[in-house]
This record gives sequence, structure tokens and C-alpha cells, in this order.
Amino acid sequence: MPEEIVYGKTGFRIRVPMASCTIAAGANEVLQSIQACLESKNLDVEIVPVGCMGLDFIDPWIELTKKGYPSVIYANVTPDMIDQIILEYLDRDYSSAFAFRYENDTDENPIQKLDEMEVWNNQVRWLSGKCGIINPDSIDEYVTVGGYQGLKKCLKQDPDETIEELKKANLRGRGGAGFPTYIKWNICKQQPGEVKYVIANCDEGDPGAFMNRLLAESDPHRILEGLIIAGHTIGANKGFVFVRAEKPLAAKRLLKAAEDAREKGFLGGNIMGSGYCFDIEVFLSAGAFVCGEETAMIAAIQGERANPIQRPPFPAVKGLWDMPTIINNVETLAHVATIMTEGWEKFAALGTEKSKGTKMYCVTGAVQRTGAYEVPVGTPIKKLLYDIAGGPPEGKSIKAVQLGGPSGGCVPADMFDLPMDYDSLQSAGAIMGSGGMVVLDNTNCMVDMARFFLSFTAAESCGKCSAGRIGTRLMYETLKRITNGEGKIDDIELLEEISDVMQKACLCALGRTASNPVLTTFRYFKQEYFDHINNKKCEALVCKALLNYHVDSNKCKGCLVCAKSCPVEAISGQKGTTAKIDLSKCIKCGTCAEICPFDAIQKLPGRVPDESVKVEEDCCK
Amino acid sequence: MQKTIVLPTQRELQMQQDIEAITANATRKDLIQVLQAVQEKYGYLPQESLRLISKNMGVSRSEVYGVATFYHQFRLDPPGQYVIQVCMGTGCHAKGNADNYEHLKVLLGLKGDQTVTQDKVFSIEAARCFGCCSLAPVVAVTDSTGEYRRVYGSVDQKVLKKIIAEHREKAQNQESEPQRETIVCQRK
Repeated sequence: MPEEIVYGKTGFRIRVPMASCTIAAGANEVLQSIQACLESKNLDVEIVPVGCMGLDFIDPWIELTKKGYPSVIYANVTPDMIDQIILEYLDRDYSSAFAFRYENDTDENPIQKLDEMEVWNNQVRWLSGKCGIINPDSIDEYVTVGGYQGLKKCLKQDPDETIEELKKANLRGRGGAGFPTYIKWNICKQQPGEVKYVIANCDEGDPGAFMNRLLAESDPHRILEGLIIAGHTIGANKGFVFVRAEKPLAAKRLLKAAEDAREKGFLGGNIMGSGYCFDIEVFLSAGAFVCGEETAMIAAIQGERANPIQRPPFPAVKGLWDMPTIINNVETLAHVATIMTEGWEKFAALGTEKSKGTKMYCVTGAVQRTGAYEVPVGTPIKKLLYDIAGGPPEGKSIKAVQLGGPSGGCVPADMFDLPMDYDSLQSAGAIMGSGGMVVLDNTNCMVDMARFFLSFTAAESCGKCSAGRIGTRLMYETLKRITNGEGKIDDIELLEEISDVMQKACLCALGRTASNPVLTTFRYFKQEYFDHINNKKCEALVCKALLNYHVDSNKCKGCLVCAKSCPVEAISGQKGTTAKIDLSKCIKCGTCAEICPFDAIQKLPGRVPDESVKVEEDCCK
Repeated sequence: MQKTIVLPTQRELQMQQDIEAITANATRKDLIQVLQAVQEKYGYLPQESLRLISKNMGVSRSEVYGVATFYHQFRLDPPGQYVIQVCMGTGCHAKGNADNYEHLKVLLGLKGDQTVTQDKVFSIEAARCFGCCSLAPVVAVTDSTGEYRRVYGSVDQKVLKKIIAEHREKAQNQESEPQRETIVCQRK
């Protein structure tokens, strides 16, 4: 890392991560506290707002770097810790620190280095290496760390050479399907005509995935560089970045990046003196999951309802305003920029025979260290979940991992040796998708998860093709019936039949893959379906119709705190005697169990006869 | 025969001007941006605004309505002063945000399909993933125009009560200027 990036002008830098995740964890308050502290101590320190480095479990973190001192990262910082941290750091006392950042950081009082930590040294940070180090709002810092070198090289060479390099690198699309990037670009390049478009897909509608947001907020110029290279290669003069409105900070950073790039001559007319003209527009999506489908995204940019249309013709032939268009995920584009700068050989040395390079995954749910991690394609699930993410929290066990969002599937714990590449995951019924991994433990019900995903796809189905519109709705209704304890054994066959029809008849991938969550839970957790249908039992105690709250008379002291907290006045009793829950009134909200000081109220499986609580979930507009 | 002419109210005239300004130079492809601008101004899309957009842009009303109802971002009904968005992403669902949604309804006294409280201070929405999955379960509070936005992580009943109390108080002392993008932390 160049010295001017590490130490800055003043020789003392404090890095504060300003990304959505760290801000939500309190980085703003920390920043204010640092400013106040520096002012009172009259220190000449440069505060650098950086992006997120993916270690979400230490949010908000800060990093202190002074010439002659090591780079030290402090974890889970709160505003009142700042004074202490700065004093200790200047005293060379690192006892409260998290880690030294760089390998060559040494000191008389050494602590663990980031590179010695499992969470770090099992990763290959090919793409995200600069995230959390450089200031995303500064184009100069990006240029200093080698930015826009790839573009410079591509502008000098023939577009065919660029495609040839991508072919050698064997880069496959990181949006989910894994289509080779060079083929897509080549098709589009060969189309006749002057007007072509490129679109960067930063829509990231998959719940549970945030690597695109992280990249856009932490290293936005890398995405732009990839986009400009794409434009140059296929011969387009106009590009779009399609960002979700729910992620306003990512849009803001990309807008700022585009402005700066224009000013420095990386965008606009005659880029870097090559005579090539290209400009971009940041499009704020109004929010629809179906926009992940290429043709739907095109309709959205045209200002229409995001309805997908029949393919072929593929957008590479006939896309935006009927012109040849390529759409690439921002992660793919960032890979292109990095490959062009670092060389395809280094990229191709990573990954497996069929899929090269690295992929970012977002690990959330029941693990100790949640975050976004980058590993070579083909890394076993186990390594990611246990070595990097630290396995389940104490007292819990991992039951399954949900991969690929609503189009993906659940992989059970006994299959965690499975390497994560496009083909292995497909054979297990899941997909790589954008890379979201939600880890489920024994407090998660698999039937409920399937119901949740179908409620999502039913609400998000655009309604154009009957198979998608009716199929998702029908599956959702059936699953809702099962989780409400009203399922019949025929329902399983019904669900299988609908899945089959939808896979064959749906217009777009949203519909064709909507049944994946159901099919994989059938495949690996069929017993849970039988439990719900035949025994009216939900082992994980999630499905509200199949559980009851019960007061343990041995533990209850009769304080009646529960009775006061109950929103529907279902609990009665006298002081000093065991409280009683009127099950016909109880709405199973769990308030009493949470508030009880003696843990006397428990959830028990089973249902009360002649009474069923229907859990309505209305995500649909 | 007597003819009655209904004069436009001050509000309608103002809206005409606003929409005129927003739709100036807008073409068919800008429809989504136009709707976004109108929602930013009013907090929702009033029926009258849809008519004006359609008239000014020369796009049929059904088409405007079709786009406005397709995307999640657009609301056709006035929201409360503060909109509480409960994330319904996978990570948040696995950590029990559906329960939080139910609690919130109970705490705000909302029944059935109701989403706006009687005093119009709060409305609730089930939102899509905010990308803060590591803080799951997550709830965000925005004002109706999206100018103010706070994200709360690791939400449970206590936090929900705090959120409601805090914002109810804020709604009462409305004279204080809204802060921009202040985000707060709640960590376990």
C-alpha cells in the first residue's frame, strides 16, 4: 500500500468506516466524538471516511495509523472510548485493540495481526482489498492505488484483445447464473449499429445479500472503471448504473464517483486522450425484485412497468430501446477492472477448473462473525461458515444454510463439504445467486422458511405470465395452510406439481426458480413437512398455530408482570398464585415470555383444539 | 340554466405549479423519476397529481397508474408523519422480525389491514432488505419525504417501545428542524 494512502499528508490518519452497515451501528457518533477529541487535544490528524471492509461483527471499527507506529484497528468502538483509545495508542499501549492491520506492523507491544486471524487469512481479497482502506469519495486515492490503469490499457488495445483476455481469465457473471462474460460481450460487440448501451446491475434485490452495496459504498470507482471498459469493448457511448432506492448511500457514492471521473477525464468526451467518448447515468430504481431479470430492468429504465419479455432475442442483440445492450452485475464489472489492472493470469490462478477467480459472500444469521467475505470460487461451505464466520453462537447448532436468496435453496449441515461453485451448488438444488448466505439454526422452521420465500416471490411476481402469477400465489397459500396446521398429505404432491409446471412454463427466471426453496426443503427436510401435516407439530416452535404459551407453576412466583404486559388481557391470576393464560384470547405475541423475570413462561408444541390462530403476513401491495 | 363553476383551491393551484415544474422537459422515459420527485415533495402520490402528470406528459392515466402501483417505493395513500419500515429480508425474518411487525401493530393499536395510526403520527410498512443484515433484525424510521432516516439494529420489543416514544415526542415538538441522515445504534 503506498505511503501517502497509509499515512496521508499529516502523517497521522484515523479511518472511520462510513457505510450503511457501520453507520447503522453508530459510526456517525464515533466520528463526531473523534472530531471533538482532536479539537480539544489540538492534534493534527486527518480523519478519513472509508468504506466497509466486510467484518460486520466489529462494526463500528476505527483504525489509527501514525508514522513510526503500527496501523491498529479497534473493534466495536463507542463514542466514549475515543479519548482513551487515542491516548493509549500514542502511549504504544494496544491492550484494547482488535488487531494490527499490516503484516510488517511491529512494535514493542505486539498484538495479533489481521493476517493471523482465521477470519482474514482464509479470505482472498482480490476484489475487496481496497475496501475500508481508501476513501471512496476520493478519486485521487483510487488512482494512487492503481485505479484506472486497466482502463488506460484497454483504451490502447483493440477491443478483441480485451475480450481475449476475459476469455483467458474465464470470468463468469457474478449475478447468479454464471454466464461467461466474454461471450456476452462478444455477441454484443458483433452486432451492427452505432448505438449500444451498457448497464451495471446494482439492484441487489436478494434479501440477505449486500456485497454490491458494500462495493458501491467502499470502492465505487472500481465499478465505474469496469463499466467504461465494457462500453469501450462493445462500442457503446452510454452506460447506466441501476441502483436500488433502498440503498441511498450507494447511489450517492456512485453519483459522486461519476462526477469526479468526469472532471478528471475518465468519463465524457475523449477519455484519456484516446478519442473514445462515454458517459453514464445513475438510475434510481423504484424497487421491484423482478428488475433483477435483464429484460425487466430494461423496461424499468425505459420508464415502464418492469415486466420481463420473452428471450430470445437477448438484450445483447436487442435490448434498451431495441439497441444491443449488455447488463452485468457490478461485482462482475469490478472483476473486469481488477483483471485488466492486475492481469488475467493472477485471476485464473484462483478458483476451480471451470470457474475461476473469487466470489464475495454475505454470511448472516446464526454465526458468530457476520459479514461479507471474499473467497476463491469452489471453497467448501464448511470453511466459510466455520473457519471464517466462526460457526454457530454458543449453545446453538447450524441446521442449514440458505443460499442464493428466494431463487436458491437450503443446503443441510451434513452437506457442508460441498464446494461453492456454480455447478456443484446447482446439483444440490441451490444456486450461487448473488452470494447471500443466511445461516439457519434449530430455532428456524424450514417449512416456515419456504413459506416466507414464497410470500416474497408471490408479492414480487410481476403478474404477466399466468404460471408465475398463479403458481407463486397457489404455492404460498398451500404453505400457509401447512404452517397454520391445516395441511393435508395431498398438499405435498400439489406443491411438487405446481413446481414442475412453473419450472417449465414461467416466462422469466423469477418464476422458474421460485419453487427452489420448496423443492430443496422437500429434499432435505421432508420430515418437518410431515410433522406439520400429520402431527400438527412445529419442532422449532416457529409456526404460531402449532404452539402454545404455558406457565410453569414451579417457576412462577405470581408477580403478575406478565398480566400487565399482555396486550390482549389474556393473562389472569392473583398476586402470589400461578398466572393463567386464557388460550382462546392469546394472540401468541410472546410479550409475556420475554418480560417474565423468572423464565416461567415457555413455548410448547401442540395446538388447542377448536382454535387456530392464523398468521397473516401481507407483504403484497 | 344555472352553471356552477368550482374554483380550484389554493392547494390545487400550488400542486398544478409544482407538477408543472417537475414535468417540464420530461419525456416518457422519465416517468419513474417524475413520480419519485412528486413523492419526495408530498410524501405520497395524490390522485390529483397522477392526473396532472398524465396530462402534462401526454401519457395515458392508466399507464401512469400502472407504473405507480407496480413499484414498492410509491404510495398512493398519505403516510403518517413517521414511517416505520420493518425489514422483511431473509436475515431479519430468521431473527424474528415478523414478530416485531406484529408487536409494532399491537403497540400502535393497529388492527387488520390498518397501517396508519389514528393520530397520523406513525405508519408502518414491511420493507425489503436494507443491506444491513448483520444487524438483523432491522427497523428503519423515515419521515414521509425520506429526508430523515434512522436505522435501528438488533430490534426487540424494548427498542420498538423506545422508537415509538422517541418519535412521538419529536412529532410533538415539530418546530425543531429535521436532521439529515442521522443513524443510531443499538447493540446487544
